[in-house]
Amino acid sequence: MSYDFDVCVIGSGAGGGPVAFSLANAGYSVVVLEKGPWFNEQDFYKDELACCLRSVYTSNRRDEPHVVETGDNEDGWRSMTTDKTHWDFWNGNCVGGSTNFMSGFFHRLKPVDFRLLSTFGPIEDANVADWPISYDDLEPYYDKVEKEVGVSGRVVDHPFAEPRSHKNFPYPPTQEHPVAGWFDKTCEQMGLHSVPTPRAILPHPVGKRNGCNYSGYCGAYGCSTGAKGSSRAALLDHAVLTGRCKIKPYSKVSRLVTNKKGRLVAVEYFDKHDVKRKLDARIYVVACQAIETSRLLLLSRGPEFEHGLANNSGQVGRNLVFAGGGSGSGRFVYSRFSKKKASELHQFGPFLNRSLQDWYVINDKEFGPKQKGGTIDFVNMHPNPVVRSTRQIREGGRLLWGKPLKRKLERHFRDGKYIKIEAFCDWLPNADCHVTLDPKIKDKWGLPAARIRVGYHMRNVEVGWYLAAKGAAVLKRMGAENVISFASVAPPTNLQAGGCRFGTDPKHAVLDSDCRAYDVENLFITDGSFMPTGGSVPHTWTIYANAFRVADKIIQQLGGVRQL
Amino acid sequence: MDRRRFLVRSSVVLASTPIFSPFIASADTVNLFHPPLGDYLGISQEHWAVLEAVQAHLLPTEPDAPGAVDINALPYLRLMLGEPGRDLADRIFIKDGVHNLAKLAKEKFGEKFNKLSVQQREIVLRIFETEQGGSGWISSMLDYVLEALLTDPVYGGNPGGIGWRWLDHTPGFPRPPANKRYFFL
Repeated sequence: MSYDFDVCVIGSGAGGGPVAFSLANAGYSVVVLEKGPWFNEQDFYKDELACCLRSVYTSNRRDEPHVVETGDNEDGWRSMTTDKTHWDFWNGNCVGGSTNFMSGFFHRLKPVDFRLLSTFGPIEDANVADWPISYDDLEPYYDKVEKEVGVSGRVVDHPFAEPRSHKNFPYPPTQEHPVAGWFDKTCEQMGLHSVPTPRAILPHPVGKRNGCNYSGYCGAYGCSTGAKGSSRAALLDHAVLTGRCKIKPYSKVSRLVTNKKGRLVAVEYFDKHDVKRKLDARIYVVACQAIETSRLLLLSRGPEFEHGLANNSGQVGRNLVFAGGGSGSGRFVYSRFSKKKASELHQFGPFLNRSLQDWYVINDKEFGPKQKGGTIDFVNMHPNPVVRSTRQIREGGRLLWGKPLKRKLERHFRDGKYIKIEAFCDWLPNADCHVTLDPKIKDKWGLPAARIRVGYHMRNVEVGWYLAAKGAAVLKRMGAENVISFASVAPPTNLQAGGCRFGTDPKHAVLDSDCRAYDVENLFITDGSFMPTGGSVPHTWTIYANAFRVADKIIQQLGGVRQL
Repeated sequence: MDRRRFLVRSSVVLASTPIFSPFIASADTVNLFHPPLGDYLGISQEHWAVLEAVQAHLLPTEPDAPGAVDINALPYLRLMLGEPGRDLADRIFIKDGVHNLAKLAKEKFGEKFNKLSVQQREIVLRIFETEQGGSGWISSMLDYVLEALLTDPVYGGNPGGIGWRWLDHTPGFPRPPANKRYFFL
C-alpha cells in the first residue's frame, strides 16, 4: 500500500522538529503540517508591536478563541472567552512554533523528577505519578539536544547537579553581564551555589546559523541571527535540506481520521485558502502544544473513538499542567553604587544567566516535611519599553497622567536597573486542570474551541512563595531596593504540558512509555502532553529530548534507518 | 482596504509630510503621518481635535521632556486605528469614548473639551474616569500615547527616537524596516 508520506507531523515546535529532523535523516519521507506561516530570520526584528502588542506571531483570539474556567469564590467555576480577556494560550503560530520566541533558559529535569510519587509519596488532591522511564533513559537525548539544537553553558558542581554523559556543554557560555559576577560573589557569601544558566543560544556561528548579537531583546522575540535554538532554525531547516521533509505552512489540521479497526488512515486540514484537504501517512505524530493536542484528539471522533481519538480511557485532556512558581524583582539604583559599579549595572546586551537550585528538594522543617522545590532563575528585566511604561499608569487606585506620570517614567527608566526572579516548581496535576471541548464557542473554521479549566493546587503556591522569597533574599544582599517576591495562582500560559500523559497503565494513561497511543498503533504524541509531572524547570529541553527519543522509537517501528 | 493599498497610501503620506515639532532638532524627525483634516474612521474632525487635546493633557510638552505633539501621538493613533487588521470594536470604543467625553465637557463647562483650560480638562477627565467605561477609555488612550512615545519610529511615533532618548532607553537591533511593519507580516 502506498502513502503520501511515511510520517505526518502535526505541529512544528519542540515536539515536531526533532521527529521531522530524525525521520528525514533516517531516510523517511516526512510532511510537517503547520497552521501558521513560515517566517525566517528576515522576518524577525526588534519590534515591540509585532512581538508583544499585536497578534502577529500568535493566533488572533477573535478567530481562534479559547474558553478559560477559573475558580470563583464559591467553589464554582466562571468561564470567559479569551478574545475578551487578557488570557492568551497561543504561543507561536508559525513554523518552529513557540520555540522561535522562547528565552531558551534550558535546564534538564533531575532524576528525582521521574519518580516524585515514589520519592515523596502521594499528595492529597494531586494526581502525582512516576514517569514510566527514568532519567537514564532520557539523558542521551538531553545530550543530543545540546549538540543538535545548540545549548551553551558552563557545567559547575552543585548539590542537585544532574548526571551528564559529557563533562562540558558543546558550546561555551554566551556573554555574561557584569552583575553575574556580583551574583556569584553574593551566593558564595550566603553559602549558596550559583549555577550558570544553560541557554539554547549559540555564542558563535555554527553552520548557517550566526551567533548571538546581544541586542538585549531575546525572550518573546524571534531571533534575527539564528542563534536561538528554535525548532525551525536548528532542525527543520536541516530536515528540508535532506529533500525528504516537506513543510506545509498555513495548514490547519481539523481532524485525524480512523478506520473501523481503530487505525489512523488520514489527516484532514484546511489550507491557506480554507480549502479542506486530506493526506495520509504510515505514522502520525501530533505536537500542537498541550492544549491544542488534546483538543485535536477530542475533535477527532471515529467509529472506534466515540469520545475522541485515543480516548477510550477517558484520559485525554486530563492532568494538564503548567509551570508552577513565583516571581519577584529588585531595583539597583545607580546613585547608590560607585561610578564603576553603576557603569557595570548600566551595561546592556549580555545575559545575566544565573540560577539557583539549592532548594530543588526543600528540606526545611519550618516549611514542612521534605518535599519537592524548584529552580530560581535570575534575569535582566525584559527591556520592552511600552509594556514597562504602561505598568506605570496606575497609582493609588487611580490612573496617573500628565507630569506626575512623566516623572514616574523618568524614575523607572533612568534611575536604576531591575533584575527579575523567575522561580519554577511543579504545577501539581489535579482534577480541576484539564481540557475539554466547549459546547458553544467555535473557531473560524467552525471547530469547537478548547475549554481550559485552570485549577491549581495550593502546594504549588506555597512552594512558589518559598522559592521567590529565597531569590529575593539574594537580591537584597546584592544591594537591591524595592525587592518584591510573590506567587500567583494564575498559570503561565506559555508553559503547558500534560493532557495526554504517558504511563504503564492504559486505564490511567493515554500513551505508553514510547509515547505511542495505547488505542492507536500508528499515533505518537511528542509535545509536552506526555508529561505526568512537569518538573521544576521550563519544559522545552525535556520536550526536545523526548521527541528525539520517540523519533528513534518511530524509526524502529518503521523498520530502522534506511540505507540510501 | 487591502494591505497593498494601505502600504501605497501610507508611503504617499510618508513622502509628503513636513517637519513640524518644535521640540525635535534632529534631521530625521519627519512627521511621518501628519493627520489630514476632516472626518476619518467615522470620527468627526471636531472629535479628532478633542482626542488631540486629551493626548496633550495626558502627556504634556515640557522644555526637557517631549509631549504628545512632539511624539506624533495623534498621527500614530490615526494609523493604528486605521490599519486594516484592526478590530472594528477598537475604533468604536475610541469613537464612543470621545463622544461621551465631549458631551461631559459641554455639560460641565459649556465648552468644547479642546477649548478648556488645563485645569478644566483635568476636572473633566477625573470625572470621566469615575464614569462607566471612562477609566478603560483613558487607559486605552494612555496606551496609544505610550506606544507613540516608545515604539519604533517606523510607525510614525517617537520621531528620531525622541522617546527613547528622553528615557535613556536602548532599542534593540535590527530595527524593523517599513516593509516589515507588523501589518505587512
